[in-house]
Amino acid sequence: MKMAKSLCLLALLLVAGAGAAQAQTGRITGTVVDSQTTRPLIGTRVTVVGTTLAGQSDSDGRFAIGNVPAGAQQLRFQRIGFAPALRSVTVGADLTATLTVELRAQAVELTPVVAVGYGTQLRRDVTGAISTVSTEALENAPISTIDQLLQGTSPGVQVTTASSAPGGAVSIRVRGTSSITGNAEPLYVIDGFPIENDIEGSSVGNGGRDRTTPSNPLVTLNPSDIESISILKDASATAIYGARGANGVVIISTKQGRGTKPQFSFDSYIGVQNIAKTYDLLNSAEYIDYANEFAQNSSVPYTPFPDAVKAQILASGVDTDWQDEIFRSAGVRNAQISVRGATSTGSPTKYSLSFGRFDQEGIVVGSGLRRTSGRVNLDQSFGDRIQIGASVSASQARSKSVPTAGQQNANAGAVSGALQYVPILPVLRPDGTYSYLNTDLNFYDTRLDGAPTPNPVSLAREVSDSLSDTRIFGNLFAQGDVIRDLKLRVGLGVDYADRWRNTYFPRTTLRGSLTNGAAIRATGVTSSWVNENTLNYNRAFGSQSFDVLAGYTRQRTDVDGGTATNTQFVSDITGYFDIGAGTQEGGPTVSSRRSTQTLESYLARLNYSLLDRYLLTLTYRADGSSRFASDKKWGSFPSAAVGWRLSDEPFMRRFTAINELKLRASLGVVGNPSIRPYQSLARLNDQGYSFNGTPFSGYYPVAVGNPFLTWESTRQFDGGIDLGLWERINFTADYYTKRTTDLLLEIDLPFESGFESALANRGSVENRGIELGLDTDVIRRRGKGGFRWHANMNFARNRNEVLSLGGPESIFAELITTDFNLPGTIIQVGKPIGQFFGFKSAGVIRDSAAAAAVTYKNFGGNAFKPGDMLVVDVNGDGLITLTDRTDIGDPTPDFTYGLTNTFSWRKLELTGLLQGSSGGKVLNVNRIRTESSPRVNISRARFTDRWTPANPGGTYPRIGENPNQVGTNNFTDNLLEDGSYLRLRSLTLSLGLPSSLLNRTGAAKARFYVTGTNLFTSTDYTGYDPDVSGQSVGNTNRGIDIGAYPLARTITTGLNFTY
Amino acid sequence: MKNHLRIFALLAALLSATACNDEFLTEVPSDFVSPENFYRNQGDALSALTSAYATFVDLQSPLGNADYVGRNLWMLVDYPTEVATSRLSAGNERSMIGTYHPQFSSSHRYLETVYQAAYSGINRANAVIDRVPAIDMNPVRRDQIVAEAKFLRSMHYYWLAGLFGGVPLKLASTQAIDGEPLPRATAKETWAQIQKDLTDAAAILPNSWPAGDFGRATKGAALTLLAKAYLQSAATGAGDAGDYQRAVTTFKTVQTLGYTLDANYASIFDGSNEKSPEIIWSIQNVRIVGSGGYLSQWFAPITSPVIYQAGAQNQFQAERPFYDSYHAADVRKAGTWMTVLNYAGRTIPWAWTSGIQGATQYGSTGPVPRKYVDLGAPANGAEAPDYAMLRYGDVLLSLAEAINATSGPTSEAYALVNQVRARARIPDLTPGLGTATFRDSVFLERRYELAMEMHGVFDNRRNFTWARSRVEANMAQIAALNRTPFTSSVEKLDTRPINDKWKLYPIPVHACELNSALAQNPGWDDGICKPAGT
Repeated sequence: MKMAKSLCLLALLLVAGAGAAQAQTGRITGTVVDSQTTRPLIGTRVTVVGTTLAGQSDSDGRFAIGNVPAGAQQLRFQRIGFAPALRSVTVGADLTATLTVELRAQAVELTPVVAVGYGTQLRRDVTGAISTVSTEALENAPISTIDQLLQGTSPGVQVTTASSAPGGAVSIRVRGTSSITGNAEPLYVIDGFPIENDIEGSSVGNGGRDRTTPSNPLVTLNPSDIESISILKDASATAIYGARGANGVVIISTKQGRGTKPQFSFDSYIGVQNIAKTYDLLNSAEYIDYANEFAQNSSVPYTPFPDAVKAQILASGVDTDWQDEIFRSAGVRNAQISVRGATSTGSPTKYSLSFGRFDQEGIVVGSGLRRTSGRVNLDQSFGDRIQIGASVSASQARSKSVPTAGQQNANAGAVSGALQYVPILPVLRPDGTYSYLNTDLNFYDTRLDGAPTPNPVSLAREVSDSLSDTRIFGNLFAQGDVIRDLKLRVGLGVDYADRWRNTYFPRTTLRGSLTNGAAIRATGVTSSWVNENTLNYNRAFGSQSFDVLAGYTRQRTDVDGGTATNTQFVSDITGYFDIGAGTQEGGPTVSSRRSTQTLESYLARLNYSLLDRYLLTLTYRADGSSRFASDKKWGSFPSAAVGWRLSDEPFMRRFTAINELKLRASLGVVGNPSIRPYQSLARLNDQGYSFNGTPFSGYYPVAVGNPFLTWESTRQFDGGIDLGLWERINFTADYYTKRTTDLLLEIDLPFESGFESALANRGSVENRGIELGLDTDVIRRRGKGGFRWHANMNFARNRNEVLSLGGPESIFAELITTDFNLPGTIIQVGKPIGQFFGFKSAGVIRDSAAAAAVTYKNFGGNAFKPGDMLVVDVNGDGLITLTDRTDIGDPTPDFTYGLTNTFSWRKLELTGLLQGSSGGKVLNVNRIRTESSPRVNISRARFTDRWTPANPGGTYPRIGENPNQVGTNNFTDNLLEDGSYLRLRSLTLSLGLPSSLLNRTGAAKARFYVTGTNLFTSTDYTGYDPDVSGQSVGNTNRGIDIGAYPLARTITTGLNFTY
Repeated sequence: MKNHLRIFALLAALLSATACNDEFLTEVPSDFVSPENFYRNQGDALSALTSAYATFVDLQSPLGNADYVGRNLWMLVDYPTEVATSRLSAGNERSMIGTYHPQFSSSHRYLETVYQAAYSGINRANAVIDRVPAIDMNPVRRDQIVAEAKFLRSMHYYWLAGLFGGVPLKLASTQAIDGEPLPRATAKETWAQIQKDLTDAAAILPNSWPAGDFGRATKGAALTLLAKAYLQSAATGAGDAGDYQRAVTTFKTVQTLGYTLDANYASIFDGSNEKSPEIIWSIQNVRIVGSGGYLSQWFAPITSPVIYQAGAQNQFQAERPFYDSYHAADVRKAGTWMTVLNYAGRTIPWAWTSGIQGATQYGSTGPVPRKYVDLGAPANGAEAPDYAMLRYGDVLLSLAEAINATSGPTSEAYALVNQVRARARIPDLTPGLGTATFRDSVFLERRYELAMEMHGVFDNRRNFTWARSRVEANMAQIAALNRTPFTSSVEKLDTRPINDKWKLYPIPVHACELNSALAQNPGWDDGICKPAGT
């Protein structure tokens, strides 16, 4: 605390001057103009390559550099918004060389400026590892949320789909998972406003909707409003965000006004989505055979479907394809209008306004998303020293959800239900009510033991489940020069999000029928403000330049929420709208919550450059967080980075092919504060009891406090190289190691403590990896409209290893689903986080000889039988017991990659994004039921390739009771599948309309395009989509597929006009 | 220029307004109670105690209502007898307990939840015992609150010791996350602790409470549980020679407190007679979700359309040989089992079909328990009938058992048993039995008198050889009756003898994973718990 206070008074700045004498020199003067408008360009930085000499163009575009050594020199011209240029000039002693240079305006992605925390920096001066996402990607593909932009486009950024539902959550990992229990999502900084994307924390209470996938909190941000995205990855880049930097930082800047005259644009697209892949399941006749075979293989054989019954069922013609019943062809539409511009007086006003509407039906009947958003960005200068600006955006995303993920029994969703429901049941019974697997299957024989899974069609059609996310986001700033080169900026931001989720189960659904309707209303309001005050001193002294930043910020976030549930409705007419109409005994169940968290920080950064070649960045941030325990409120996060731009060394000048060569190294400490508010405090919960029939309230200790609870600390080293060749190939490579200590672990307490678990800082985990990025013009024909093939490739490989768990060698992750009691994933020292944990299998036992050859006994001391899945006796004790469970696979991929190819010729452009992941395993829980009972449908492969005495080579075990014989609720690795995939994520063909057409419409630019999304996926995974993180966006239960919302294949056509 | 100065003055003012202060980072809880603002007055003390009682009706995450008294404890206690069985198949985790299934192991979930729930209740009681003495309040009530908490703590330990033998003795509330692993106490130490707590509690608790406090532990409740604890420790070899005599003395003290057998046996369990003079202490249930009973769902006939919510599951039902063995005049047969379901104007009969347990589509497969079933409950966990955990019928039979153990089948012991049989409207016990036969007769009487009241396995522990022979005989009888059996019956037909390891349940394996000091019970080694005897 003391340290922090003294920081409050921190004085900055060490200034050193240096000079240099020259002999035999001349002078260079010239003018810089815009190649399109031929207007002079102010503020262009002009440097003499290989020297410390530099100048800057004035308001007439003129520049002058003296004392230039005589001889041939190269000049580099750089300006924000324009492509850099190199010019050769010969300087004679005591003479003045003059030249005029045209700079070509270009899109932001190629500008050498990158957004870093609290400012921007020239790409060439960056010492940290920062990826930028091309805005071309932003403009050219129809995308609904911004996280889709990050997928496959930046090395080291792994995007996993938690739910493919419209508005469903996406989980992003920058350089691996550095936390076990904490939030491992990156920090988002939108127009300077830091937002912790705590997906679970920010979703409204589930209010009895068991295990629903949380929605995506970034869904309200309209991707069309985005100007640029930077992803800060190493400690040097993220340390400026201190305690929140460990998971990487995604800096998003929205479009600002620019140019002079107003530029109107109109974008629209329309598309259709279809399910990309379905399961091949049994039809009625096959199912009956299967069920009969199962029953015959039971310990007491029976025949649930005798021939007469079978004939009767088949004659009735009922053969329901349940997947067909819940999936549909679904539309997607988007429209956006915007205007940008600036008034060009002495104190210009820049403006950017936009309005967009996005409407997407989901491919599961009943689901969909609609977003309406508007944004105003304004910027006013007063003279050349003072500037104020404001941006306000308001958006509303409304989605209709269908229960889809999570469980398989009574809480199963539509997708899981569709995979379980048997084809011999009709969607509707003759009396118009929905069929019910449990009773309707037991009608044939109770021993079929039909699962209590609700009818999937009833879930899709009848359940009203609406989510709304309304977000108002405002930023206000003022900045001005206090003295020359010293800028003060004061910013105030407000983020207000109002979320609700209302659900009603009518009587036509199983859940509703049991309680005469069930309604849930859940709300959550998050309001957050931030005040940021920074001083920035930016000045060059001869060959040295300083960019010093110091700041003080405060942020506060309040969350209010409530949930109300009610049952016993007189009728279904009013649904959740009139929740008071329920007549539940004791009245509606109501709960509410409130939390506050605050953060106070001091930050400082020095960017120092010597001779334009030797770069140094020092960063420091001190964060005080309310979430940390009383004894651990403050943390400090320093980092240092150095860069060496070899390409500007005089000895490199002869390698003309190399236009950029930079070596970088950084080291620093950042934190992850993902403790929820108040978690360091002990707490009591309410639980009542009755005396003499009267209820009394009571409080009991439910959580033990921890006064030492603090942030997770990540120390990261990064070494990198940036190489530019022939001004057309850019290559970047980084190697990093990230070691996170003081991991926040929910450690299971011994049962005898009376508590389940407690949060403590234990253990450590390491991520290390390499990232490669290559951006090149493979072919670039000269001239406007010449053929161009641009390729952008990235590759990342991350190794995750748990180094310590603070005592235990392993801890179990939370249950995959409460339908299975035993945990399915484990966190184990020496292994990556979240290993799958179960029994190893070694194929199906062919025959009695093979069974006899097994030297150990199965679970419970039974002998293995032909047709059993052979379970491996891992510990060699001659018996399969729970101790033979072991780690059986890793959900994290070995490497991920992306490849974007753009071919353009005249006004035609073809862009394709291939994206892939290799080596991760997926636990296909959808298949687990098929091993234990004839009450659910199974895949055709499972049936046709099963072991039978006649087919001893079958790859699947015999049909019948528990052929794995590993006890209840366990699973073997035959449910684990290879989740590697290569996907053509998008393919876009666009055509700029010819000017003859344009003249007629009055448009300056017009483009028409067709895009296919997820056209093609190459994978061995048998489920809908290997890119799943199941019902959870947490860190430990990844790669789990339980009725996950399937992937859609989308064809979109769009049009955009600019006037 | 002046304008600029004003703007900067404004900015400076903004900055100073947000200057450093400590309060900004202090966490003040708003939507929850923390120890810092609790345990301050009499209301808080009573509130803490109430939550300790609440363990019996509702549980904290990750446990659910079904995981302790709401189901799992019943199943662990009443299944492994010849009284009840399950409709479910043999491999089902529920059936496993009752069929002495070879796959039953220390990883069985019910063991874990019961163990965990008991300690959760113990911690709540410990919090009261630790924190309440420091509260400034009426000292008489303060001492009573601590005594009530000691009774509650003993109830949990009684169950734990009965199921598992010696267990770790956790006698203070948990304040920190670090601590040495707590090893198991011996059975002797565990029973001694239970007896000490109950002796303390009995000295302070009143004979009865004002009407509004009905349901709290009384002196009679503490003494009854104390006497049962003496009997249990004596009969399982975990006590000393004097324990039988102490049981006799203590039960006799209970006899002086005014309890009597209720003439109407069935009414004790159906919620209509909850203040019967026979009931010494009962778990208080009301028709409020989270404050009521949870058993109807498991007891009542499968898919009986009249049961609320998800339908009943019929996870308990009578074993036919036992059901058929009631004396024809015994009123307890109808008081214990339901043969016709009458509710809301509907009558749903069942019948044994084709052998043991016949399934009809929407009916039951056998008589189902009547005790504690509330067909009118509005929801799961909101059933009204109180659970009579300690009642005078048990006292009489237990006293007879204790007297027989100290002095043989005296006329006093006979009179006690016959008092119970008289209420059941059946003739007196055959006179002139030897000590051993009398003992077994008393145990058999307990089966009829106390079926489905959570005594079964504790009785088995005190007379294991007899209990084993009962179950094995039952298996043989089922085999004789059986024509088209359910699989659960098939498993019971297994000729394997019931292993001695069943004298105790295994320590749940997950408890050992979290506490490295725990040793397993004999015969249940699982490779994770420390081997038995270490």
